Amino acid sequence: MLEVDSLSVRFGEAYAVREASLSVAPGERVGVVGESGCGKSVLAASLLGLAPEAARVTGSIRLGGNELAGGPERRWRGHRGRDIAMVFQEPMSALNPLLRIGQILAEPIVLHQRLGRRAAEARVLSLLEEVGIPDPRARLSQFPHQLSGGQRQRVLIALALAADPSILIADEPTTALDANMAVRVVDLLVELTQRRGMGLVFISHDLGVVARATERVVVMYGGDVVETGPTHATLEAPRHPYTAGLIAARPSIARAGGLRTRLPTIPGMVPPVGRRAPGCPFSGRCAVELPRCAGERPPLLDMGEGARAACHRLTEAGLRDEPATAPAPGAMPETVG
Amino acid sequence: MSLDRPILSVEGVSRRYRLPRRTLFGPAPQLAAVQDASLVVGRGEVLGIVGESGSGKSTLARMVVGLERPDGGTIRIDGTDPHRCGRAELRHRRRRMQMVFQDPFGSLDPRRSIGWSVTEPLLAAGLPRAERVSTALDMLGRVGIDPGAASRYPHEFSGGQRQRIAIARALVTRPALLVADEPVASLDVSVQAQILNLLMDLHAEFGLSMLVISHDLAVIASICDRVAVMRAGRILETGATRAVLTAPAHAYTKELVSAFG
Repeated sequence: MLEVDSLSVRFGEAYAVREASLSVAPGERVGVVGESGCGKSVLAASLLGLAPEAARVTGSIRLGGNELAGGPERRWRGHRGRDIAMVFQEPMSALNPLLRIGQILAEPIVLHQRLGRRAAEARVLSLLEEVGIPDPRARLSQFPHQLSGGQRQRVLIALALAADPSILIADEPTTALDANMAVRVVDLLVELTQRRGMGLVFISHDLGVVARATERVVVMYGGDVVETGPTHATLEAPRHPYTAGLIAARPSIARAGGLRTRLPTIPGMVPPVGRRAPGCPFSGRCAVELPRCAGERPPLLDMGEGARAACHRLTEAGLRDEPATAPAPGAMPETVG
Repeated sequence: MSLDRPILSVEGVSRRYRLPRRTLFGPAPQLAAVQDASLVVGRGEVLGIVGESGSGKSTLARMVVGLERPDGGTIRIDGTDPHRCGRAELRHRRRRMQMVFQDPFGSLDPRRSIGWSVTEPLLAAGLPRAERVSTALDMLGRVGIDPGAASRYPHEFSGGQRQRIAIARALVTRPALLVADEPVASLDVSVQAQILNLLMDLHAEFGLSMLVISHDLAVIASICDRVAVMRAGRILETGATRAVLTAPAHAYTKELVSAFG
């Protein structure tokens, strides 16, 4: 349904996203994970034709057979919101504080579906109900500030659903929420994609949330897709050293077991756009780096069972099936600056 | 670690905020941000406070370091109540407790070099200039920042590096108690681990007592000896981290443990 092939987003000579490919089938939930500066939000914006004006977007974005990449804004406008819609991160700034919830939600419905007032109101009520907002009729006349963070996020989801999109892109939809609320919003998104047969692209830096929300995962680092595969298999046995390092660095209740423990770390930091090695973007931080990594870009190798990873180690004989290991705690220097 | 002469004791502390009036002549409603909270941090101990936004954990932390005044109850640091002593003594006492905030952008002066920012707290301590500079540079090195970068400005550093600089500024006066409010919440996962490790190293190196506030139970579980769970202004339960995680007494704690499991 949504097919992205070799999508690059460039600012001058610098790549924010380099030859990223991903596909989302109807009803499928795909996660995009990575740290800030890895290109995931630029990728999301490009999928809606909303990349910054200074950016040059190349490659292919096909939605239901239609090529959108490189097309005029007019063509995007026919699809944005209608076929492919977005849930933003910050529910307070994404909702107009001067409009009532009913007005906010009626706008896209009137626009896309050309319904009359009464029909639009009925539709707004059913959307609010669908996203699990209690007493929807009372919400119609309320303003965004009168709702809790979790409810605002639900309103944003309802807003994205207004035109019955076939693909929903959620950019860090749980980052602003408390843990308990985040879990509920994730469960709602899963339920909605199942019920509507809608594809979901779930962008997050939080591995725990991605594990709960998605079936397949795309791991981005430094603008590259470094690994992709079924979510649980990938998070349990990552093949790329970055994925492995990210998983190991995550504080975990189970691992801590109630005792203070040092966490394994990835030394250094994400290189900014324009200061990346021409080869593997992770070179310079990687604990198992080979001499050719900095200069030669590793191909995204097919590892079987829908898994792919881009690491030169995997092309070495015998290493293909072995999961990448996280470096031992404290094995690497942490000094930066 | 000893709990009989604790570095920090908080007894029955409350704090209310006035909310905007709903009607013109009615009384202003109040929000009980913290209600009857009690806790103790032993010498060399790391206590975590976990809770969701609005639970009152940051208000409690701000009262501990004297940035906010409690409406009731007592706070004692090293046996002295910072809210009941004179200004001069408070200034002297402040050196014994320092705070690290969530946003390292907001806590460093953008127009001052990082070297200046780390040296400044020592001015109040009355050290001679040469000693101030050498102490500050030494502390920068200990938090993993190249002392040669002391003349650079905050915007030249990444979020994780800025948090290291903020930690250096807090620790340069060698406080006995460090209060860290969401020290890693705005950092990327791989950088979070670096900062948490750094806090643990400094705790071991300086015998530092710490009060760590976070919404993330996994963060608290990784670095704290004991944990207090807060919700709606109240401390629901306090105990050794392992005990609270494996046998939570309160239904809310159970929900938290499963959300972060």
